[in-house]
Amino acid sequence: MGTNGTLLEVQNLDLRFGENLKDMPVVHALQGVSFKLGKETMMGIVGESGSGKSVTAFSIMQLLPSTARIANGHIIYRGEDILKYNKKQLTAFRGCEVGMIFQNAQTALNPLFSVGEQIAHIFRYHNPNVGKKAAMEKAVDILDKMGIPNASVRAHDYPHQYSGGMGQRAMIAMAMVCNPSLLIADEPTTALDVTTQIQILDLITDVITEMKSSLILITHDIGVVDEVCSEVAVMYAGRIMEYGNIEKVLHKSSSPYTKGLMRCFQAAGGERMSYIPGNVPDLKVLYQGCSFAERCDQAIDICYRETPSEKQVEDDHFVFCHQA
Amino acid sequence: MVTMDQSCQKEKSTKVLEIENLVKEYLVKVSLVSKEPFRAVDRVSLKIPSGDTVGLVGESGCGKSTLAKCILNLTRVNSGKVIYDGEEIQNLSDSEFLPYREKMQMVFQSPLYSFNPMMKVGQALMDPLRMIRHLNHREREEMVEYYLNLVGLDPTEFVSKYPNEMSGGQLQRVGVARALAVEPEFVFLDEPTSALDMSIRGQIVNLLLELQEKQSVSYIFVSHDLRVVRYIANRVFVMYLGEIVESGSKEDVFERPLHPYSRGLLTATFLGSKRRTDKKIEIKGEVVQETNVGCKLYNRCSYAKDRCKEEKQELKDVEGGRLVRCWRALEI
Repeated sequence: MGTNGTLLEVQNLDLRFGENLKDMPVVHALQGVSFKLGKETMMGIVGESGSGKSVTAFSIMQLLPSTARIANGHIIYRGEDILKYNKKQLTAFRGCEVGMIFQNAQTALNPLFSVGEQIAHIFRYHNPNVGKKAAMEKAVDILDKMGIPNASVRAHDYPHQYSGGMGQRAMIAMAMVCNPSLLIADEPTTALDVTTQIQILDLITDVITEMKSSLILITHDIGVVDEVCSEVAVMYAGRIMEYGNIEKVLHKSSSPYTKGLMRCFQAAGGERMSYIPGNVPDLKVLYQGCSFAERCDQAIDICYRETPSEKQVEDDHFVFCHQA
Repeated sequence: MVTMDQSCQKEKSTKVLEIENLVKEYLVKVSLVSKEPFRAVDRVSLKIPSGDTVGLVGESGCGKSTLAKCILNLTRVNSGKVIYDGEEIQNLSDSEFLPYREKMQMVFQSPLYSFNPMMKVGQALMDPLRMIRHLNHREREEMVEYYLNLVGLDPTEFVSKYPNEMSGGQLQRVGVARALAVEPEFVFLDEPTSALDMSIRGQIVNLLLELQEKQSVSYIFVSHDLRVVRYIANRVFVMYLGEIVESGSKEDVFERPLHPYSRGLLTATFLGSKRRTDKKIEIKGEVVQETNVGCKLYNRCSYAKDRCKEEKQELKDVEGGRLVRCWRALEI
């Protein structure tokens, strides 16, 4: 996918939590997750709670806790499997090749250092030849580019002095200061008011386009990815249900889950609000068949017995469903 | 709208809940030594006849949750009146307000934080029935069973569960049951679906709609999520920084918002629906306390003129019941 060449390829990723804990059930957070991301492409990963969208991002960044283990699979970035990286390679990879921003700037930024100092520090870390003064100037410059008014003064403020939207701008500045080729944004606007959200999404789009980077935007809000992304992957209970070109996946969906989710979002009016009956399955159980079978109104016998494999609907549209 | 169902047990109520010039201030620390009053609710007036379903919408700092708390005696008001069926009920003591608790209930945003984690949910439902409706033990047990069934939960399974043993959606159903079990006339719902996944919000919303038909109750739905408000409300009040900036029927406000803030809010809410034809940002920046004399939206509004800064804007009736707080409403 993507006519510009592949930047990142996730292959058959299996992620488990709690294998090293005694007497605790193992949580199968990701099962066979695969997707490709092209260069200069903006891709969304949508899913609800327990879908595994955030841990996918943490897997790519290799920021998983010690209780996690990647049982299977590869994460190929520019042709190299980053799961095989040593510490030195990982350090060069994070920040320089891939940046990440999180939901809440107050918890993601260090409260003890000014925003400018933190950005300057990162810049110097990856560019050791740059002096302190020059690094601070760079920090002010990028804060200004991200729309922080009076950046030269505000760079010396602490994270708690920044409002929600400002905090996100500061985080984006910090993530992009070393010109990474990929930005991963994990629910970057969920904690913001909608009128602020729309401004931050515009900023992310502009920055990614200008720096010719790629974006993985993780969210539960389909409206957000519809606005920003050209490709999307829909996840459910640790598995990918459908992925590809956004117009096709969202508006000509093949997976019953995507269709159901779109109905919930569409707010079409009418007497009753659309929903999907039932609850998200227990991730401590490794499902034989399709993880969505229990809640699917089109499920047939095979859906309960066999995990669906990838089917190509079109060149740029893939689905995991027995009935597609 | 409540239907006139012949078999409906409860008589259709004609009570009116009215709020007159309500002010609620909090003292906010502005420096190490000084505090300043911040108006969370700034002279709000509205009228809700029972049977109406009202959506109170707005973003952070607009005062919608505070307004609900003022009405329900969960906080004192600084000035203004809350009038229920002709009686003033603001600033009453707990015991004085108790008879009104039966009439006005609340469903909270976070199901997990609004239930006592040490109490089984069956017990949590029994308490209001004992304190407010004075039912005996046998009657209470029957009511709990009835209401759990009504909200779609099997009593044999759920009556003895603790809150942390249930999913968000299931617990929120219990929250709805708890509010409705005392058969109130008004139910305030403070972001009841915000903590739930999109695919199950509809379960709670539809449940609320069904129960409204059965029990003839008025909902005041406080939310920032316009997608959900669209289903539940028939009248909408849009709030910003403690003031009502627009009100009208749901159809009017959603299809043809007049106030710049309502317009910005709707565009921002329905992302991906192609409302943004030219990527224009109608409301810039973030919520910031305004110190000028004029419109509180002045620094953020892309339609602002000098007059907006100097002249305090009042709510005006612009077309048959539509109230808007903006002199430019009809020209933009």
